[in-house]
Amino acid sequence: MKNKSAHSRRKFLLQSATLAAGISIIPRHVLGRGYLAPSDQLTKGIIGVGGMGRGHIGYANTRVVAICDVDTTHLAAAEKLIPGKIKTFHDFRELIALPEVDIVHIATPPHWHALMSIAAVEGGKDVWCEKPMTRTIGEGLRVKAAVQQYKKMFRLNTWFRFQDTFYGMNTTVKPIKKLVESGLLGWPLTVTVSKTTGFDWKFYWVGKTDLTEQPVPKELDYDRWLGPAPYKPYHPHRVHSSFRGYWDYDGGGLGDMGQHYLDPIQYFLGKDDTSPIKVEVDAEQQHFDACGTFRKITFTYEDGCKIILDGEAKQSDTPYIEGPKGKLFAGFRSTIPNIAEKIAAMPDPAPQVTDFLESVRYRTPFALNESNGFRSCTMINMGKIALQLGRSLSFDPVNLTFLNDDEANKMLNPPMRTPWHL
Amino acid sequence: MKKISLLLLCMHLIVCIIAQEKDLTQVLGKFPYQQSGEIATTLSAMEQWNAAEWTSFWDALNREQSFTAASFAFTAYVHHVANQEVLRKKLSASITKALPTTQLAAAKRLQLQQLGLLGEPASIKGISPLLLDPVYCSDASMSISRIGGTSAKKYLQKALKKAGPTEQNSIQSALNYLSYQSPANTTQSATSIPASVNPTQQLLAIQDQMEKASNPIDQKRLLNQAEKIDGIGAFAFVGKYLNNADLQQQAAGILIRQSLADRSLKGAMVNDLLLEARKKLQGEDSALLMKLSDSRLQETNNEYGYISLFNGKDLSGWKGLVANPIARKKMHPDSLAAAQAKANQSMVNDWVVKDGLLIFTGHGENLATEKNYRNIELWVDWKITEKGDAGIYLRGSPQVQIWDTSRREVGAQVGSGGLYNNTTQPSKPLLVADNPIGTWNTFRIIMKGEKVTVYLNGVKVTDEVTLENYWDRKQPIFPEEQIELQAHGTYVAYRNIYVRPLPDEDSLISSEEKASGFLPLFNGKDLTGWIGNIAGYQAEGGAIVVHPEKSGGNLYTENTYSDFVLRFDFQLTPGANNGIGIRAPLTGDAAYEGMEIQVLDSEHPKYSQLQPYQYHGSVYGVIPAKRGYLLPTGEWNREEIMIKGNRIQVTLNGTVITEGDIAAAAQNGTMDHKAHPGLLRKEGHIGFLGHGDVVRFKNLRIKKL
Repeated sequence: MKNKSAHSRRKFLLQSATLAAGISIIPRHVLGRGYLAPSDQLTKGIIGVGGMGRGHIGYANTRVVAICDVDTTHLAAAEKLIPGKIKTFHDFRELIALPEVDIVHIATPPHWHALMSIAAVEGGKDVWCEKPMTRTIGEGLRVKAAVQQYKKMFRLNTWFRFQDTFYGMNTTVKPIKKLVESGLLGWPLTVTVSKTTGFDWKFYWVGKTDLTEQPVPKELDYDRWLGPAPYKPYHPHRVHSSFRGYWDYDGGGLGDMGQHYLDPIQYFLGKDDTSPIKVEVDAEQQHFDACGTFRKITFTYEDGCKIILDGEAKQSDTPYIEGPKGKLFAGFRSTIPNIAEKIAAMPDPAPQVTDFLESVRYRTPFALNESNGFRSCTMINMGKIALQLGRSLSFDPVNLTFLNDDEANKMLNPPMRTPWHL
Repeated sequence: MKKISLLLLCMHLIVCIIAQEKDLTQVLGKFPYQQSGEIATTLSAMEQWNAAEWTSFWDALNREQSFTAASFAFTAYVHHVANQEVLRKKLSASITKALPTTQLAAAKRLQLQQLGLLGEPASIKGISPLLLDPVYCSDASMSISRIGGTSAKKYLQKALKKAGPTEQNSIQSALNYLSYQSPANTTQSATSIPASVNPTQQLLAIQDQMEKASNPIDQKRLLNQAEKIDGIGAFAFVGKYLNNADLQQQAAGILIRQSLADRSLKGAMVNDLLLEARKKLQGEDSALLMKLSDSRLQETNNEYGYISLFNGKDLSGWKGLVANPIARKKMHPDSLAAAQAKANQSMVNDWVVKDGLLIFTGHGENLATEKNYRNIELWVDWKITEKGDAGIYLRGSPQVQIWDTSRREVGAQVGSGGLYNNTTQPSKPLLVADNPIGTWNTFRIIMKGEKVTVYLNGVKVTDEVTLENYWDRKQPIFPEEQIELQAHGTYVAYRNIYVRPLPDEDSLISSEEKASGFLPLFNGKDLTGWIGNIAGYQAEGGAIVVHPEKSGGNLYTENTYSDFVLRFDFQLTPGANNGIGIRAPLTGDAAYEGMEIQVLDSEHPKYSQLQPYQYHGSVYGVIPAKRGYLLPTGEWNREEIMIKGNRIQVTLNGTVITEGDIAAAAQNGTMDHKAHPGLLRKEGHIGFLGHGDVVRFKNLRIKKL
């Protein structure tokens, strides 16, 4: 009975918004912009309440009603942070099954993102997922299809394509988008992402190659933590705050920061529905299990645009964007005179939905969604495969396969450990 | 003998093994590589390995202390041979053979993983026994499923029958993977305004969708689409949202940017909206936009700018119709006033304002503007119902036709927008451009002199046709009269009515400039008053155009000027170079014998190395100019050159880019270290100093100081 009423409350919230926008807007204006009465708030359940997941508790205008983790110490720590009574779970599927949850937040390591996102949308939930979107290209494609098949809203948790100062650029991404679209820099463009342009690759996310098996602590369900990842003997460095250093779960500095950096570039280059045709790597040999560092990864698009991930940052003032007619440097300095004035006067780019709750209420895709998020994540996964193989690869951005490389293609959509499967 | 040979053989073998061990240690020492080139020879050497060498390698992989080093070499070699069929098959066979002897769990898992990546169906048989091994079943299943193919399926199905319950799960999972197909990669499209139609139709579609839009997200998208449409229609549309809490920020930014991009947006209506937008503006660009729009605000107060004829609330600015222009002229002022009062009374019954629309109820008289207009550009949206009939009277006379095109009995199939009452001049539109009955249409009507041009929904349907005088066919159309909305017995709704008075054809100079003493320097038609290279410079379409291919040399004014303000518009071609000579003699290099105000496409890449005293607007070689105020190449720039005594000032598109004292600038030698005797001249000709590029100048006017 209780479930049923919760379910109809959610239905009312969504319907009142979609059918008569006025109803939901009026109280907001009466009470001041940005304020929502608790009864009007959407509810969320968070899967994975380690360091990252606990950050999701605070996102405004939603109420946490359930949390889930496979480590009981995480669960207890998060529970203390949330006022009022909430439900706690060990199995994410039980959290997804809760009728009172509107939005499922996924803040687990990346090897779980796809399975949980798909389960959530199949369970009728909208999804707020941590970056990187998925660990493989095959998983990403499946998430995108499921979100669209079930007509759910999906937001990826990076935001530089629509708000906040964009790392070394000292502005939001908007003026960069306007500059690129204006053609003032010419075409094709080369974008260099490096420490000197203001983008640090965080190479402390490297794995260890000499792990010896250690007993699994009793608070952790290691088998469930691994989930779809291949079985490897337990070592504390594999899990929690250092999992990013292992290919089975993420992809080092590239996996951690890649989507933050590359997603806005895909956006301002207008590449949201395509991918590069080539990825070239210059790196030391990668261990089969532990992620290492790279000197340089270069992505090339069909039209000649390039994105260079520069891990060495040897040059002191590399342009962030370089085109045949001009350059843009860190801090939004440019070879083009009066650039800020010129850009301010140009038409704004198409507006984006920057509040996920608006996206949920109005059933309109969020600025960074399953579709463009899949594309920017695909670049990271292309880079990871090229790094692991230690060679450059050609890619077909329509069919999403590598050209003339069977081994690389076998890494597009690897099988999962039983009983997990896409 | 036998013993000795056996001993020798043994020794030989030991030596070989030792040598191999040494080789292997050397190989493993090469990994992990730093640059892929370092291991090219090592990988080639590994290609030549015999069975014994591989055996010792697998031994190394199988030992805990050498596993990590061997794993680097192993994976590098796998990646090296993966796309070379012969070597791949050979390696797969070697791994498969070694697999049963591998004891170290990590090594066995790595071998299984790499067999999966190599993808050789021949290795499946060798892997398959591990499907029944509780420790390795998961890795073996994943490996076989990654290899794929019919034999993978066969072996998995076979093992499924024999396996225990835990292993069955893994095997079933692998079988599921084999039958799994990736979904198609489709992209959803968001935009709903068709890009294929013309901007006028796009704006109509945006307005329709705005009425239906149920949430601020859709509304914001529509406003953004409107920003891309030029002209007063889109500007006024965006202006309607300055009081909408969700949209006012966006609307304010769009209005200011549109006003900067489209300098034809002028007039009280533009000024009001711009002032309001500046009040509402917030956000990251606001300080810059405020600064940039400062100068626009002065320009927008212009007599030849847009006026809104309908405020969406009431009939202010409108009056009832009294007789016709000829009859009204003959009436005594008192009786005209009385008749007007009566007409105004009936007007409020016949014409109503509802939901922001001006609606004719179907009975009564025309609705007339309070003011009279001469030359105009008029924008008006209209909508009729079935069998509808209406029209727009210009200069108090019928009419630009509006009617239901299905009324073939009266000839309406020709479409709306014709000058219906013409008898000798064309009366039918060029083509049918009406939107369906019950939907909105947009007229853009231009009347200059006696000629009328009509655009219906962005399509030209009447092209400079003389409007006949309906009230007296013998005389031409009145030079000035009221605009009227016709009452013709059927429902019609109007909205978005904007008028812009146009200057008389023969006047390039605003009345304000005229009053302050400006005179035209160029008549717009020919080079009367100009001397010099009249072969290379030609009057075309109201502009002086340089044709360097026809003849070289400069073009000068016949008259000489000393202190003056020169205003003109100019248009550059990519990389173009020209110059305005002032106080110049008719002979010699005007840049030195007179002064040259540089005219140059400074932003062109070929000029990246220029000195500031060479930029556009500089007093060439003498006083530098600020760079970056030229509009994109191909657009018309406005410039003013003011010289009074030694003071010179150049203003480009509203920004002072050059300012200085020519005497002071020359005192300690000029910036280019060249002699400029011309700086001492007090008077001379004004000229165009061509440099072989196409450049256009127009609206040249001058005021002597």
